[in-house]
Amino acid sequence: MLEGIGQGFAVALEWQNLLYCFAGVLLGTVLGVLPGIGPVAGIALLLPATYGLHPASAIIMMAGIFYGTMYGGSTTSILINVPGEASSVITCLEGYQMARRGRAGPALGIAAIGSFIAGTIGVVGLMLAAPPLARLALAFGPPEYSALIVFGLVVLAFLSSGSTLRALAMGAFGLLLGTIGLEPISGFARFTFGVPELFDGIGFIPVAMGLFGLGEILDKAARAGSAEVVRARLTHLLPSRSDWARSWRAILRGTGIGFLCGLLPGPNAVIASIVSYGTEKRLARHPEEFGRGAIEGVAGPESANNAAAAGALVPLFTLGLPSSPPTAVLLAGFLIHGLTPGPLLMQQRPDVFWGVLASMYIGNAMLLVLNLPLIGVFVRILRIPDVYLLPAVVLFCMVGAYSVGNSLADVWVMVLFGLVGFACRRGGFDTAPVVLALVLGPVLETALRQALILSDGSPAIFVTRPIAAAFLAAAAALIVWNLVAVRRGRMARTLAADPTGGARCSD
Amino acid sequence: MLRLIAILLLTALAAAAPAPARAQYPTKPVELVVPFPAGGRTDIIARQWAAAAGKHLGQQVVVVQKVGGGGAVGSIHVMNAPADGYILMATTIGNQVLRPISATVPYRYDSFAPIGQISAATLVLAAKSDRPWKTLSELVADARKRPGAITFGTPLKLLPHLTVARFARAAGVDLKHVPQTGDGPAITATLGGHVDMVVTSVGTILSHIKAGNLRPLGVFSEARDPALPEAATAGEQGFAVVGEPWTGIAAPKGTPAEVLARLRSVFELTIKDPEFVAGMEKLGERIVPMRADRFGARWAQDFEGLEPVVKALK
Repeated sequence: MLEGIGQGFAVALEWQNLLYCFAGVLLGTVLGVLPGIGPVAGIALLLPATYGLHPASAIIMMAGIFYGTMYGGSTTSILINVPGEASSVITCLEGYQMARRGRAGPALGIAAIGSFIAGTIGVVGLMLAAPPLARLALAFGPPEYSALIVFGLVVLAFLSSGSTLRALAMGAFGLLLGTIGLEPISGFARFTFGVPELFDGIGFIPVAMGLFGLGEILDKAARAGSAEVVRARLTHLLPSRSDWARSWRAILRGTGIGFLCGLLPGPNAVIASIVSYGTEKRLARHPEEFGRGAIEGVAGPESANNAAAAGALVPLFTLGLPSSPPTAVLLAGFLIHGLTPGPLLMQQRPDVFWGVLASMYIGNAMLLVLNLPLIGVFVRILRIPDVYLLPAVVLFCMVGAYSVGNSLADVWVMVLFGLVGFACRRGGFDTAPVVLALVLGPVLETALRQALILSDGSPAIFVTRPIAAAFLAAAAALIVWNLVAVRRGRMARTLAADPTGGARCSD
Repeated sequence: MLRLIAILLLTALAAAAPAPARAQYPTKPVELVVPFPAGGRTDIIARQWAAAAGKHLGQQVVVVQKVGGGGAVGSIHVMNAPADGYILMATTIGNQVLRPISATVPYRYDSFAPIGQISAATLVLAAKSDRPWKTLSELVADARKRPGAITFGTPLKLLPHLTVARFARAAGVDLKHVPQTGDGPAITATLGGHVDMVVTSVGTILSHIKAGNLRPLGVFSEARDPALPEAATAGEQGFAVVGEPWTGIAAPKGTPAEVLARLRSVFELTIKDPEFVAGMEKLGERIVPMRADRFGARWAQDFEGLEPVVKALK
């Protein structure tokens, strides 16, 4: 193992590999910043250009794009409330509130630092424990997966700082949206009206861009001219000592949660960011700050989605199994160079296996150095007057939505959900549960029905399998805990006469 | 001066004369529509082929993704595109033959003109290696004793699923299908022991077989696969079931005959192109070339053979 690590650094430190690593992370950062254009499109476009390269160089560059986008994804979430990837939806909640209070710099800074720490620890985990962790991932079958998502949805219901009832309503709306398309077990068409574009369901990227980005812009535009528009002054560019003191635990917890979630197939980075946010909100000393720009709510989830990126490479490298679309494209990158990631890669091509892992340490350090100075540049975007900034963001959203599948239908979906998002803001409904439930719902349905096929319809399968039973018990405990907390909170609120129930996104 | 004007006017006149009635196809870049996501097997094959075709056509061939509906969105886009040879499709049995059977779409397998088949994969039935069966006959004997208890995972209503359905019918056994969202999840479920068996192309699971995690019980092709010579064909084992997922190139129906002829002759060159052959070899993808007429006949044959199988699933 030590020998392997040594060999890996020898490969990664060759000057041309350093160059390809830098090119990869730079491109990844840029793609991550542009909403809609994510790692999948980036790596796929680059594939043909890597034919002539040494396989290790090519994979180093493509992996750089993959984890580089995880850094960039938070930028637009924080600055303009447009999530670049699904895993950055959660970052909008606190990040954008921080930006509105003039603290975009510390938000971006803690996101970059948290990403660096999580990415680095994640690579250590990948190097030391990949084969046993891969076995853990395999233990997750349909019943375990259903239970995990139920747990995730319960956490989600309590995420919103406003009323739980409203969050549940929005979550149910998201789950309903998730039923559109060909149903996963028998292929029956639901709510598709014969439109083939709807067979795969509604994509979450156009929905998220509409609900968050366009909805926010419409809301801003509707307020223009009123005295409410306050241009926040930019105070500090980097996190202060007290920010740091509040964040470091969140970063470490987010790293652990993210890495473990990353091992599992499906939208693992999304689940990781939800669970991390929920954890931080639960453990925070000042839970009342959540929803108004709590830095822990940026630090935790941003670390979690980066650690998930490292975790997602475990099944890819050790089993050859891609767990998410970006790792699937990365698998294609291996294949066109005649490499098969999987149980034999470590023995057959140790130069590639260890070289790519070692390059990830270097790449993460490069990303930190690259991103910290960029904060000053990004923050200046907020000084652009709204008359120029808002149309530019609309344009970006449209291009982003179109670029997902070269489909005009996605642009219309985005526009439609922009209007829905605007209405939700006006009505004081939080839109994050819609997007997250839309991502998780179809996964839950598939896993649930697979489990019931395996058990011939008996729901006992969810309690007789220990991992599944544990997640369901945790979900039940969370509900009970919250019922108790709500009862206590109601008394406290009557005393404080706090009128802000449920108005997070309209404040 | 006058002479100059005369020369200029004559030149202009010559330029205005009708250019050769139809300029030699192609005069501009050609789009190759891929109806599946970037990075998938169809996409990688298409990108390799596009590079070779560009070389031999003398015009760039640009890959364009039109993803959705199990390939239906891209197929419809190509069906409705002008039939002038500037929009082609990288097509598979999934989007072209099977999608119109299992869902309501406005096209059929014969809504396109064949250019040629590039490759065909060998489907292998593999069980987790701690399961007791070593051959299809042992599997069948066990399945007779425990009807519906042995499970297999594949994506829904695509060729691997249909091939197992045919096999089960031929053998007179009942195997339980657990639908999966893709080949990757199906392999994961098998490695984790959540289902007993998986059916997919040899290239996709070769490393797991070599590592001893999965055991091949048989392949559903006419001949054994060179990459996996130890796996006997279903035919050898007494079950005459064949299912080969293919990938090829098609054009919109109604493309002019001379354009089709040009594309087909270029196709012949591409599949022998050393760079293309080397690229496909690296991918572990078997080039099984088929000329346009036979490729088109295969579409009809697959449709006739598989439509009753899909209908019987409901």
